[in-house]
Amino acid sequence: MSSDPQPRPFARTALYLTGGLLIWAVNFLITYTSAALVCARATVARGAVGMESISTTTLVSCAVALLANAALIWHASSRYRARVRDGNGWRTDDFIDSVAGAVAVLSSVAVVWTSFVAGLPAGC
Amino acid sequence: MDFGERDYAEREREPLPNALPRPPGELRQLEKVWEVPRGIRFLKVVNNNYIGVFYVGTALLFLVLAGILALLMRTQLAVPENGLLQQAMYNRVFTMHGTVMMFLFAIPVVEAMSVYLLPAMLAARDLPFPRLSAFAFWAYSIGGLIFFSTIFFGVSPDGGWFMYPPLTSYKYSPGISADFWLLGIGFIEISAIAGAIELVVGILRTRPPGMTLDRMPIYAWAMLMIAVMIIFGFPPVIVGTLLLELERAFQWPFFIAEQGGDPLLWQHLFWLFGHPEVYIIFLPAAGMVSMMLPTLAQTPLVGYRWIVLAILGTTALSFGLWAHHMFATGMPHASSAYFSAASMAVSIPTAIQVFAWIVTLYRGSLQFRVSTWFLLGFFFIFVLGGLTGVMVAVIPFDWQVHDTYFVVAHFHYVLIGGMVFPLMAALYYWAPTVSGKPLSERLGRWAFWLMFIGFNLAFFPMHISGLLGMPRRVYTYAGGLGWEWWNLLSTAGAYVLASGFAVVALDLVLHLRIVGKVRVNPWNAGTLEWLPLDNFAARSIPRISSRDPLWDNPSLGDEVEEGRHYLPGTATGQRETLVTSPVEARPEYLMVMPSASWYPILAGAGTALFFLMLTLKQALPAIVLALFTIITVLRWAWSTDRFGTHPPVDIGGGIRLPVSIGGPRSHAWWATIVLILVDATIFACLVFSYFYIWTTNPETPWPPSADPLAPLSWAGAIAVAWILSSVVLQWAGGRVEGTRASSVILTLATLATLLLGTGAVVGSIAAAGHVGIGPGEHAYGAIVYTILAYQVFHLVVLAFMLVFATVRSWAGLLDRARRMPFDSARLLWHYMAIQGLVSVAVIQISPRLL
Repeated sequence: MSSDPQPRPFARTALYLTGGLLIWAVNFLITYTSAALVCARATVARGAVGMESISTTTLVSCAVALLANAALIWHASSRYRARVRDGNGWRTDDFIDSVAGAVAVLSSVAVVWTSFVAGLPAGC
Repeated sequence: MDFGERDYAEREREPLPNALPRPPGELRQLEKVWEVPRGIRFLKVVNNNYIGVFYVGTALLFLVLAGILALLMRTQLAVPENGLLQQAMYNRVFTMHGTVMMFLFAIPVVEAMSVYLLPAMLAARDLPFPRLSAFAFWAYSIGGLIFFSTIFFGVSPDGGWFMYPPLTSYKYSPGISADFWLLGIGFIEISAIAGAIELVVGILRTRPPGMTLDRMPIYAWAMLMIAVMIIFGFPPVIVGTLLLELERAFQWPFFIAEQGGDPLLWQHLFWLFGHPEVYIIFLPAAGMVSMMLPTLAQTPLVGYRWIVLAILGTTALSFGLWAHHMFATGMPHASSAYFSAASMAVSIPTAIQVFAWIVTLYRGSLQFRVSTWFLLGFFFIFVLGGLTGVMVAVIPFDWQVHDTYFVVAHFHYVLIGGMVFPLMAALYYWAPTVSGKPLSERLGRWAFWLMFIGFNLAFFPMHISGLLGMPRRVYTYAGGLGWEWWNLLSTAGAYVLASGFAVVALDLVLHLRIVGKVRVNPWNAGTLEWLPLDNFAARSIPRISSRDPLWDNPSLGDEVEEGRHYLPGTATGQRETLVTSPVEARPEYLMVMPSASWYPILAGAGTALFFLMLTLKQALPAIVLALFTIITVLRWAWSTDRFGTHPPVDIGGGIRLPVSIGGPRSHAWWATIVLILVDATIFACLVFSYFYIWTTNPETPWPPSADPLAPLSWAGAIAVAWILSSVVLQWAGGRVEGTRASSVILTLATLATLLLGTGAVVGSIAAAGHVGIGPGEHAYGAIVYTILAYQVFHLVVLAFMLVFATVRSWAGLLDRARRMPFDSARLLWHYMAIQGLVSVAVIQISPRLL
């Protein structure tokens, strides 16, 4: 490990570190809001949409969230591997990349787990 | 500044920044600058090592007071049909017990420990805003004692610590008891937000050189995430208490179903705060565990990155759990299912931490000190609480045990196990940094075993009485239901537990003294708070190259004490500390810090008494106290931002740093950004409330009125006024030069901005009035006018701030180098303009689209 190349902008570092969590949060917001709108707003009772709209929204949101997390994991691991290969990295970068990647993995687990709800029997 | 110009790693191999011998008088001057006032002036003290200990002590006092209330409850429930406490008094006692434990003990003690510990852990001289810490402490302690004393006058709240309406609204809770709760926690909210600003800026900007993000103590990571949780978790309860107080005071029907409101809106807002709050309490304790375990096991913490991951994960997931407190409210099954799943998912990051601790224990060689025993007790109790947490996350099980003593047992296992036991371990572990010597091992062991046995005896039987159907919050019960023995055991356990606390109190009284100057490391710890400490923390600010610097460099303490690292004296003759970059911790500038002052205690007392007068509906004294507090704060603010014109100073190692810079890299800018985040979250909660009310009125036209919305051109005019106001202020900001001409420009720009802002707010109110629904008629009107009132509040505050900046300009205190008051006001104004635009979109545009 050698020198520290450039100062890192904090906002970008913070967003990168917590990217997986933000993806999880957006996914959760979309799925919860769709369930609230469809059920609490009584859209189903009024026949405007069916219960399947909740499952569809959840599955689509889950797929998009997983893709976004996969991109984040790929980005983090490729940066990490490049530094190992070139041998000119800095340990803080290793830390940031490994935590960002691990956060995205944890986020994926949480997204998949909460999306299992889409497979439960429908009903408000 | 030249620190970043050369290879950073190379600097780490360089000789120490400063050579010996140090100039004569350097240390004496440092001591004098950081001296603690004597006599009555001692009340002016702002040093974190004093304020932190007072803060912890006050929080422990509230723990004792709430504990006495718990003993009263347990005595009442020891036998069936007991007559010690009557129903009304029992309601007050359990409400005060929960409220005091959560708001006056658990949250404040978390912040208090960080006020005391963080500067030393980060080798900073103090937290970045010492007067703000002192203000938070005084507001909390004075306000808290006033709040607690309501129980002696029969006016304490009695609606439960979560104060659900409609029970707590004006119809079923007339009088001022509920108002004491609603306004009484106002000062806790203010203290918590002040603490969050301190934590974010302190942790990210005052670390020692070389303490990169990956070398930051785990406790600092935990406290950083606590600050994030306070920033996003406290605004919902601020909005909830505001709405309920408006409903009680002016009959604005946010929670009254007959008028379009919904009592569940309160529950959403309360638990949006309430569940992250569990982690606001637990994560700092977990952070302390991660600091203590490696020392007690004499081995580095295993899985540092995993624990950081766990802290980040817990922080985020904790915001997706709130509705698991509401499974029994009839929420849609689909919604409940998401929260059930998320509630189970949060056990993953928590488990990661627990496994990392277990492996650390396995790898190390454990010293069986008092702290160790408390940590082992924590593992046992907290894991049991976590397991029952997974059980109640399962919806059908939750329906069975909801509002029973099973839930009481569960959350006491989590909160006492997860927070109080680590706190006791922390008291015994860090006490030597206060008094220079450890507390009594003998008394400590007695305390541990009494508390461990007493706790389990008190709370384990509650699982069974709960499963047998005993509901919470009953003041008595009939015999013959099979609950008698379990309750008697719980009561006996409560007294054993209390005796454990009494032993701790005795130990603290006998052995804890603030000595100011300490040089101890009795446990052979590796982290910076064990450097030789004085009122200014460490003599010089060390350069760090590992996570356990005292283990890797055993002579670091001597080097620091001799002044061989950075800033060995005072460079400006004032109190000061290094500000470093947030990721790499490179020195950026020298922050001049305020010294002892009367302002924090005066403003703190003014704030607490203002809330008291407001609660007692004493309008005139409340106005006088509000003015007193505002004047005190303005006078306090007047003395800030005075050192921007100071020439750069040498901190050692050939590094010259500017003094008190402005702009986006300054700590004041960061503090303003944190404040804006809090503000924006409060506003988001108001917008959430608006749409929630829309959601729960499916059969009602929106807006629920025969009159139409104002023409769209009104909305356009309001939007233009907001945008113009921001443009004018931005333009004026480029012309702040400290000359007479720039003062004239600033004055005219301030006037124009305020006129445009006032026009936009007045226009917004007029447009809202177009639909003809007053705030007292329907929840729609109530929430719309609350959103607008929030804009008015901002306008008034910013008018003060802009006029303040203008007056400073005329006084010659605002120029290119010293412009923090103006920059903060401008940043806040831009935010307010955006908020105004969103308000227009929500109130005037969205109904046309829904």
